[in-house]
Amino acid sequence: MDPTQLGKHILHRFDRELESLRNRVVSMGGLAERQISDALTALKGQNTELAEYVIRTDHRVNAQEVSIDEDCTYILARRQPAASDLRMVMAIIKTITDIERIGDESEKIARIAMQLATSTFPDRDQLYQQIDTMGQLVVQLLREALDTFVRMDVQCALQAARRDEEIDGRYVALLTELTKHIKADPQDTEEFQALVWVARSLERIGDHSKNICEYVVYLVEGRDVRHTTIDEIEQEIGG
Amino acid sequence: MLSKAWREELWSVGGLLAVLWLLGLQAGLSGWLVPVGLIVYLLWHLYHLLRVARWLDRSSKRLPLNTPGIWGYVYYRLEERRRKAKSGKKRIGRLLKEFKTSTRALPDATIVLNRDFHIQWLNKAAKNLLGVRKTDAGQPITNLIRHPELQQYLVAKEFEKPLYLQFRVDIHLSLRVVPYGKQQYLLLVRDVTELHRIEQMRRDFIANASHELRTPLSVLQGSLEQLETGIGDTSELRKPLARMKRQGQRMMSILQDLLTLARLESRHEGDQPQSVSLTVMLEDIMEEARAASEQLGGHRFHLDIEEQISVSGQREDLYASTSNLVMNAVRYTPAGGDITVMLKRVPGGARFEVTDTGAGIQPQHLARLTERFYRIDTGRSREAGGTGLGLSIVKHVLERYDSRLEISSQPGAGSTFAFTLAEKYLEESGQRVVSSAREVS
Repeated sequence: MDPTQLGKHILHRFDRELESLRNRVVSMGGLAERQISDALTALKGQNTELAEYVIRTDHRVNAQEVSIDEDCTYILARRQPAASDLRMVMAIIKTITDIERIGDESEKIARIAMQLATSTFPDRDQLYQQIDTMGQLVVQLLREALDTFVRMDVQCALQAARRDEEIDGRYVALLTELTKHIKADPQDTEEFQALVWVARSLERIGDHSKNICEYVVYLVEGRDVRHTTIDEIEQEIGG
Repeated sequence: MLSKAWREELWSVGGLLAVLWLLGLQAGLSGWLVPVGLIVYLLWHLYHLLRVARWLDRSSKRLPLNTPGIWGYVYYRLEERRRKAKSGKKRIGRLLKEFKTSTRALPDATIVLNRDFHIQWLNKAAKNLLGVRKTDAGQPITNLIRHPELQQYLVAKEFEKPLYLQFRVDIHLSLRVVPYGKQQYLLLVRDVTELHRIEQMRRDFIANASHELRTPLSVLQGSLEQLETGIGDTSELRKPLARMKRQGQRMMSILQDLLTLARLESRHEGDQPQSVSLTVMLEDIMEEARAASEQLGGHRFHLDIEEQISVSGQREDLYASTSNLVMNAVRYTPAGGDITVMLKRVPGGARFEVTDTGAGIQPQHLARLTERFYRIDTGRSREAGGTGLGLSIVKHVLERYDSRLEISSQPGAGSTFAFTLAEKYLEESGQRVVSSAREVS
């Protein structure tokens, strides 16, 4: 499917509306990408100023969601799209929900960054490093998910699903590590718990990104691949 | 050429008809031979028209170039035109290919964008650096480089300055947009990670060094004060002690200024602007200036400050820049001189001006005055308590507000330091004043 030629309509304006809607989803995604990477930078660099900035600007992502959502409703009501257009609008409605949640999770990470900016605990640098590595994977996954959405590239969606498995693996490893730390230094439980929340948020962002990929498969192939394993997906779209 | 070919054609047709007519007369077929000749002539023309038509359709390749008469001429001209077009096409093709190979080989990522900033063409470096693919042609560039800054940059269409972007965690880019041709844009992207790293190291070094020096210095200053109270009033150590204290003070203000500069350089763009009343701030500054002036023998101050001018920005920065200008005037104007401070609304913003009746500045110094540690008269400036960083700070602050420091000076008569803050940085209350003024006029 050529991403720039999503079917030609006699109604030229409809084409333009869909196109601009799609571009706005992507730019909303860009905002979320910025939020998550800023939140990670703030956490790692103990930069309260940047963390505060992330918290303060979360509303931009929310505002985008509301406005795109409204426009989707308008298109559904006015144009009554069918087939691939309908799938497009549906995919957009779902995608923006996930992007908005990604923004929320980033805000949570930023709040924890503020909370932890002045605290010290054992193995701090090593733990931050581990979280940052996981965080960069998540950032990359989100980037790939949005690229998938832009290019309507199903193969990309598969790769993204694989990356999410890696993230889940790291999440589990990080949790085990943090549990060990809590047992070893119970007086710092609060800090470690905060880090558990960060890991949890990152894992959630990974899931949301994967969802976006799945919507793209649905949009392009017209098949629902949610709640299935990668191999099943591969068979579905390969066969 | 044409007239010659035509003449030949007409002559031969005329001659042929005359011969046929004569032959007809002799053979007694009077009216017959001429129409037959004409029909044959017509068929000949039709045949050649058909050949031309087929040649134009490209169903036949060769033209019978050695046909006699007008058709021979037509064929000759057509063939000539074809050859010229072919060689021209080849030349353009070669040029295009050369252009494409050279752009492809450019180390900078190059993307051709149309008027809506959709991708038209890209080179290999763009693929490697930005991860954009050939198949992305037709997509808006902002769909693939999704940084909000790029979007703002493209919408604002102010392409004089390049855009610096943190593209990935460890990749910094400098982007340039060059408009060309019929509403097309060339996007040039360069990897400036290394430059950024060096710049960062320089900043960090200055900030860290200043910070580290501050602690030992304050310990020294404290000890000096203790010593001063410990020794008797008549001790001959009093003088050197006072000198040490003064120099320590000076070092402290240099460190302070260096830290301010470091802060100005590394500030995150998203700082929340506060509402700062320039009028109130200036009152504080003038109080300080009067105190400093008294120690130097006193100056005559003239104030022309408009009420209620508020700016949306950073208080510290604005304070640093305005107070530096006022304090400079106090320092470099001999006792008894005049210092005029003006803050006024002007069309397009608010203007701040400090005029003194000091020694003035020689024109050759003006351009370099805002450089760090640039001094016209080193000894004098140190004596006056300057750090050599004041105007540098002013310049940096003003850059943040898209403004710049204007200096005009007449050696021997005095100098004026001024800047204008644009309307967009001024607060509501100020705007109201302007709109009502417009209503009146």
